[in-house]
Amino acid sequence: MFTQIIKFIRLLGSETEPFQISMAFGLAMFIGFTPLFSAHNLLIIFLLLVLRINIAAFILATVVFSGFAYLLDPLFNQVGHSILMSPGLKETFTEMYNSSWWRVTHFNNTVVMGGFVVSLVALIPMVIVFNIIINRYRKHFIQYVKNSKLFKFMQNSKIFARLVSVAN
Amino acid sequence: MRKYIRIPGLIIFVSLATLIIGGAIFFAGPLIKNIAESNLTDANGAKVDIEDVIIKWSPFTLTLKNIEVADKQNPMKNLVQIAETSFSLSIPDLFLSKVIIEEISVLGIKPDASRKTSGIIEHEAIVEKESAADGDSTEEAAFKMPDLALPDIKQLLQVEPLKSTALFKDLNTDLDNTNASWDTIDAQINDAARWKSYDDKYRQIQQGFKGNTQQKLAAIKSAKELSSELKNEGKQFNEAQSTFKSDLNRLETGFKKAKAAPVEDYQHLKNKINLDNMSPENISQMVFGPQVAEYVALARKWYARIEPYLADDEAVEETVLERSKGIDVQFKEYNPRPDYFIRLAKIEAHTPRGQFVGSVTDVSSDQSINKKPMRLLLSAKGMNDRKAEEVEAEFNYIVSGKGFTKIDYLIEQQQINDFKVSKSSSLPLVMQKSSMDMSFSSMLKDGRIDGAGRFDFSDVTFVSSNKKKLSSFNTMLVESFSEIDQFDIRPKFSGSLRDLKVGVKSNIDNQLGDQLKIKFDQKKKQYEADLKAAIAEKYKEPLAKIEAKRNKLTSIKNKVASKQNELKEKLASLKQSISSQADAQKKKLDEKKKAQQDKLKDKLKKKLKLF
Repeated sequence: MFTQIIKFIRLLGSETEPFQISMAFGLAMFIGFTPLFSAHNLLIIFLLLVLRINIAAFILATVVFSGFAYLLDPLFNQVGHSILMSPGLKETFTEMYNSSWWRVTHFNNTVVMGGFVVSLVALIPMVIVFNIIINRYRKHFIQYVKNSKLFKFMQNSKIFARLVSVAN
Repeated sequence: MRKYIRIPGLIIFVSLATLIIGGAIFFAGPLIKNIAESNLTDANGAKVDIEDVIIKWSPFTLTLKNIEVADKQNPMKNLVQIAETSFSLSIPDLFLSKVIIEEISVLGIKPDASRKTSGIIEHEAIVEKESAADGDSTEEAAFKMPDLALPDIKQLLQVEPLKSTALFKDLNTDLDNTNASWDTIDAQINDAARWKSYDDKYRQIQQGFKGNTQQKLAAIKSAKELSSELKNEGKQFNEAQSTFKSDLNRLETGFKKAKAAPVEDYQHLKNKINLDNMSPENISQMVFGPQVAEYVALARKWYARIEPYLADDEAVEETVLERSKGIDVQFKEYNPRPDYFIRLAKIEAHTPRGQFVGSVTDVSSDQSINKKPMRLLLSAKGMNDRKAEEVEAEFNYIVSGKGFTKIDYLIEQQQINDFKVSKSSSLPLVMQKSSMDMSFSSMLKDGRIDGAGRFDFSDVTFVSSNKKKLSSFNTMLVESFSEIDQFDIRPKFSGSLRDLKVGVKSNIDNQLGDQLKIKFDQKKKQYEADLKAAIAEKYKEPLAKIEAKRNKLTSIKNKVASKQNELKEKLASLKQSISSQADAQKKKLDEKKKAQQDKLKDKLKKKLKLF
């Protein structure tokens, strides 16, 4: 885990496109907020492998979002329940419910539906926000840290050398 | 395009997908085996082992080989062992979370087979063992039977105060006194010297009658005197006879009483022992009730085993929200079907007593959807110890709250050998052989079970395993049982599954009652005869002695009567002699008188002629 964090920090400052990292975060929400063996996660994995999305960031983000999911489960359940029970969508859901393929997705589960919808809704804002954060990190934060006295002090310390060797 | 698409990633994804799908197909068997074992083990509460799963993909058919379902209550035994089961599934239905099976074959079912390994799920606590209700029960409590211990006759006659004894004693005393008194009278009446003197006088008188006139007159006088004396004697005789008569009347009365007394004593003793008021209680309930209850408990145990797998009337449980699991919202199904449904299950079962074949139809997790009850029909013919056996059951839970289970069970001509009917030591009864026909019907509804059956036994032979230690009544009961060669038992039970009341009726009660009555009457008659004989024997000698004394009195009376007759003859003879002599004398006197008159007349005539 520690190695992953170090790699992530390096990734943030690397030449990798911010979109790749933020998209990784976005897709990780789906995996983290919904049960692991849901059918839509297959699509997410497909997108992860096929598109140029950073896998390390994805894995780290999945862990983080899984932790959040434990706290947000009641919210997902409530959201999913509201969506599934909404009168306007009843016919659509009934059609889907009677279809074998849609039933595989387990869409009628409140946590699956709630987690998926929340992830979907939060996807674009999340990607945009992370893009901004990464750009600002690279533009401003890294330079600030490099210029700081603490960094200069630590650069010469054995702890820093150890951290660098671990990251490599 | 390459900026956004990762070709190696695509290759990896395709490879992974191919690997997973290929692996799933290749390892589907073991996978399904593990999933099935895991789910069935959880459902059963004890291990379920499947030897092999064979998959055919088109159509999708599963064949499971050698399924062992362990018994939770007895982990070293299998609840059931199935040699092979085969069925087809529709994959689209599986995606809809429906297990719909049109036809399944279940072959080689063996109940209660032994396991090589324990069926306990390792993380569970030790399984509680069932009470010994289904095994051989320990000895039942002894029956409460009336006893027929008749008192010993000899002791009875010694101990009981008898009327005969007192009467005989009084009669003996009376006879002795009467004898003494009669001896005195006899001695007085039959004084030899006196009667000799009378005889002498009589002879003298007879002599006198042959003599001259003076002697004749003297004889007449003596005869009159003798007559008078004899008349006095006659009075004594009359008095004696009168005494005899009254004594004899009194003695006769006493004698009749004494003779009747043993009979009265016999009646008194008979009433005291009360030989007429013994009858058997409801024997069939006592004898067969525990056996029937055992069978009912066994049926209850088997029902409890299959009950978890049956649809029931219980309200659907409220779904509890589990974290990370959510709730599955149900929508209307265009083609509603139960979560699992088996239209037809063909069954073949091997039991120690023979092979069963049958079917189960419309097995459903929700009968309100398929609107048909589950039906079971199992039958077997030409079995080891019976001609045929059949089970027919209907599990009808279509309408919630009105569900019921109905079971009909039939056995034809089961041969029974050495069956312990009663294990009680007070009545150890064994049905040595018999042929039984049984029919049985029960219904479970609203938590209450009601049922009735009929067992018809023919060619029956009952024996007791230990006659020596039985009470007299139980011996008679066992002998009565042995006279019975056919009977029926009609059990009825009702109540909740936990509190079932079993009642048993049988025509064996009437048969036993009749037989007991016959045997009891025989025993009673024998006892009565023995009692009568004992009483007669007891008073035979005293009665003989009384009879002898009575005879002695009679002989005295006869002797006196004979003497009285003799006296009467003598008196009559004397009377006649006196009368004839008196007539002769009178005639003679008359002749003499006439002669004198004639003589005087002649003299007078002569004198008149002179004048």
